[in-house]
Amino acid sequence: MFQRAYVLRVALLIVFSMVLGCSKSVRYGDPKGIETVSIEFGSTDLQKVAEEMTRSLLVSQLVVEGNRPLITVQDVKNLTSEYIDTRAITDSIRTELARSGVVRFVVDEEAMAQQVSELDRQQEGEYYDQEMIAEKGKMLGAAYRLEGSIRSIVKQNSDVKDVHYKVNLQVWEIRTGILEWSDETDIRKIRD
Amino acid sequence: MRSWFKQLRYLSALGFLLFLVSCSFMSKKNGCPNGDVVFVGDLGDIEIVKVSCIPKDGILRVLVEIKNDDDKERSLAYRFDWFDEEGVVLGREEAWKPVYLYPKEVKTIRGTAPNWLATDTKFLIKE
Repeated sequence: MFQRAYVLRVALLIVFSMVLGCSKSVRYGDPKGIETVSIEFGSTDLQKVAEEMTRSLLVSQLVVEGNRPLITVQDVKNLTSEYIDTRAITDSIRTELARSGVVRFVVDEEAMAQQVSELDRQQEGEYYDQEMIAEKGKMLGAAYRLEGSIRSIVKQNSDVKDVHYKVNLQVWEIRTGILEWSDETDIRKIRD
Repeated sequence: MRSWFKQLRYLSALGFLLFLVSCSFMSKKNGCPNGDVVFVGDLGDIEIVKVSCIPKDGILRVLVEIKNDDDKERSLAYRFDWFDEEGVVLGREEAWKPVYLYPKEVKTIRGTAPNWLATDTKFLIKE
């Protein structure tokens, strides 16, 4: 009886130490560091695209010190065969530009419903100071529309996978339909 | 003899002054007060050929010419830090961006300041 309990305890100890031995440690990494965990579009690519594109727009003719044009942003279209959170690309570009302070953004298509809902809530609610509520009909329309796409060319054999991403952004003047600015950036990743 | 010593003293003082002036000019790299380059770790045969700062419409732009003196290709990462007039770092830290260099290749890396406040930069490069 005593021997059985002893064997059981030893077995439990072995299993416990095996579980501990197999568990992987967690550590914090540099969020701005180069990420090469997989060949798919990753955080380094996202940050590279957002930075390069916004800096290019910053020195374009569209942005002249003090004019701060009004822009609306449309989601970057994903024309690759992989899943890419293109909203993250759009948001990063908008945040970078907003931080630079050279352009201003108006409500985009996706946020319009929330904007209208908030206006309605203020107008219809009896809880708000009537002198302080946001009036309807005062929203500003954008002068420019920012849109873009991401495409990829994938080549693969049994040993190597080669992915070439091409991200293109454009700014169109809404009133005239003129393409005011366009740029693209390339990313090539190879797994062998 | 005494006047000769006096002249020598003046000459050495003038020489030292000229040395200081030339050093201060050398450290001013085309509009960047410092335009520092920082190698993070030992990069071996990687050489910075030239750093040029070109303000355009109030936005500071930097061109960094980098040379791979190695006989094999190198995959490196770089980023810029940007500083305002008071030497304070602007905005958030930039992401490290990959750069690929063939053997003996000279490549120009372009950097653009995040806003009009930037007056100086620091270029960082690592393996």
